[in-house]
Amino acid sequence: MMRLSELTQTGPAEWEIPKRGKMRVPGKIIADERLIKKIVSDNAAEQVANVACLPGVVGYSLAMPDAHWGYGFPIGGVAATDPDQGGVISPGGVGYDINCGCRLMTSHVVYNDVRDRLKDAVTGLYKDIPCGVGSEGAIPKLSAGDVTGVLTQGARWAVDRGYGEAADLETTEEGGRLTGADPAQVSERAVSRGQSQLGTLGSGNHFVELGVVERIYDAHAAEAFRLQEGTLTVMIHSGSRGLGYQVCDDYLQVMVRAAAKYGIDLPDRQLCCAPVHSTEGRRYLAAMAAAANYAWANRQIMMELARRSLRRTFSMDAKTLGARLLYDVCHNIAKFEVHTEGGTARRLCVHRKGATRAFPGSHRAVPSVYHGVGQPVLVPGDMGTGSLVCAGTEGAMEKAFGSCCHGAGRVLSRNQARKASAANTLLGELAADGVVVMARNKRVLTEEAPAAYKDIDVIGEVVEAAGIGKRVARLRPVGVVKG
Amino acid sequence: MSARRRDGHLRFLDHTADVLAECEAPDFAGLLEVAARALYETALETYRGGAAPDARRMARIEGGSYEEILVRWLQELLYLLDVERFVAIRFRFDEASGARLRAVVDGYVHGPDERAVEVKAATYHGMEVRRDAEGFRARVVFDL
Repeated sequence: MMRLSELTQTGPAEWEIPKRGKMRVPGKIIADERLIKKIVSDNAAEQVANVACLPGVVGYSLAMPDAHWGYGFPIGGVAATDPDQGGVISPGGVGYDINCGCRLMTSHVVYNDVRDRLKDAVTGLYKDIPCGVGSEGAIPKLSAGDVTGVLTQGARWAVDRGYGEAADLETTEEGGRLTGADPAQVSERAVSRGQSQLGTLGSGNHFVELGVVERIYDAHAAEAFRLQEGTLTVMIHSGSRGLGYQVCDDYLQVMVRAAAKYGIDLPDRQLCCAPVHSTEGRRYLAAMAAAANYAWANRQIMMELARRSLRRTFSMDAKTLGARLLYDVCHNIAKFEVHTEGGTARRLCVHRKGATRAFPGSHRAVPSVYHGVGQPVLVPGDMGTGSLVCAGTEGAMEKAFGSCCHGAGRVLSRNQARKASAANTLLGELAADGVVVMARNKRVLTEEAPAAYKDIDVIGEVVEAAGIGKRVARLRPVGVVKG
Repeated sequence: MSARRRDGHLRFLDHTADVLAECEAPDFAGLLEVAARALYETALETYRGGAAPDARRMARIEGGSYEEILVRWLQELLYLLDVERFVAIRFRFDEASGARLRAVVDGYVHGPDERAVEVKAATYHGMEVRRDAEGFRARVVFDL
């Protein structure tokens, strides 16, 4: 395990891991004194160093402020490789839950006007959005042909079938569809796992959360994002379900052999990889894009189910509810982006494993409604404290390949969290704080207790101190559905 | 040989985000069985290891190392768990090596409320199957 003394503090919120051993680039951790010790002590820093050994990696192997021990990559890890310099693609740098991500809806609803119906609203969401392990049945079981449509069209497939509006696609990263998806590269097993799980939340740290805009940090950006103090929001966190897990698993087997074939020496087998320009690399990227599209369709359908549920509970028409998608971000993905590295613009393969894209307002990939403001960056905290809405910055481009954190990040293991609080006590504490929680499973509930996560406000302060994002608003949770 | 190695031993260790299981057994087949138990004890509310089996599945896996066989074995069981709700409780290994596995597993199909958490995968992270005079030992990280 790495020691803190091996790192050099290079700024108020930046630490460098100097090159050593087989590292091809240094590591960089975005953290302050409050966060760095835990990141080093739980193996995340060691994993940053391991990622720095990947062929073709450029600049730095990075960890965001929410980083913690993962498998292969740290959670909160970012690494860019140059395909023209032998750069690799690593499924472990994307993760099993391909395109796991968040989306946030704003609304016209003033929380104080509906707080007496909050419990009904949470109950409605719990019933209308299937959640829990192996959840299914949100929509009729898909045929294999339907799955092909989802894999190629992403969120548009859902919109075309009445789940949402065309405007939703404009504020979804990549328009809710990653190009280059090839269903032929997705196994029959993966397709079969995807047939009945579209529109379902899953389990673990996935959630649907009703929040209230509690504080505005940046009035100009908040206006562009249509965030108004005191109004209700809906955040959804989920991914590509069993289909994505299977795609990752299928290609890890391919990559274990590919790494040997291409003579790639790895410090951790979970980092197995192949050159982007290889047959194995291209096949994985086509399958990954397909799974990413499934995830976007999944979140799109759940969002529409949430809209319908809230309209019913609050007896409001669509216009009165005003549920509008602020943004949808993926935080487990690899994408091709142009970044300035070594003084020249290069097309790089950017892996984000538990990290969010955070492009500035001048970037053409940012939706036109957010030009000049920055791409919305969604940073969910824990279910009892709050979440942040941030905006991307030039600093994120300069320091972190246009990336920011994806959440608060765990600080307790699941065992420790379970020991820290009993489910009923936790539910009582949350209720006393004004948070209605409905959870499919009490064990998951305790594992996701607020104490298991870092302080979201510390994360926000570090993000701003490092310049990789700016805070726009803080949301306070009032209703949570957990799988 | 120590009793815990002879009987097969499973211990869960702390991991920040996921589940880390340490498995020991006198031979590789035993290690595969202990690792299967780790998967089920993580994924299920209660692993009914003493239940009467009423379903059977076959597994055939090829790989290039003990580590690869172990991960693919767990992935196979995870697929059966997720798609068919099949839980293995009795294992017969006709072949279990670092190159090939052939197994017949008997078990049961679990009910709708028996799952505790969603195990996304058995990972290769930090995995090393160690062989010593007393048998086999491995650590497995399950992604939740």
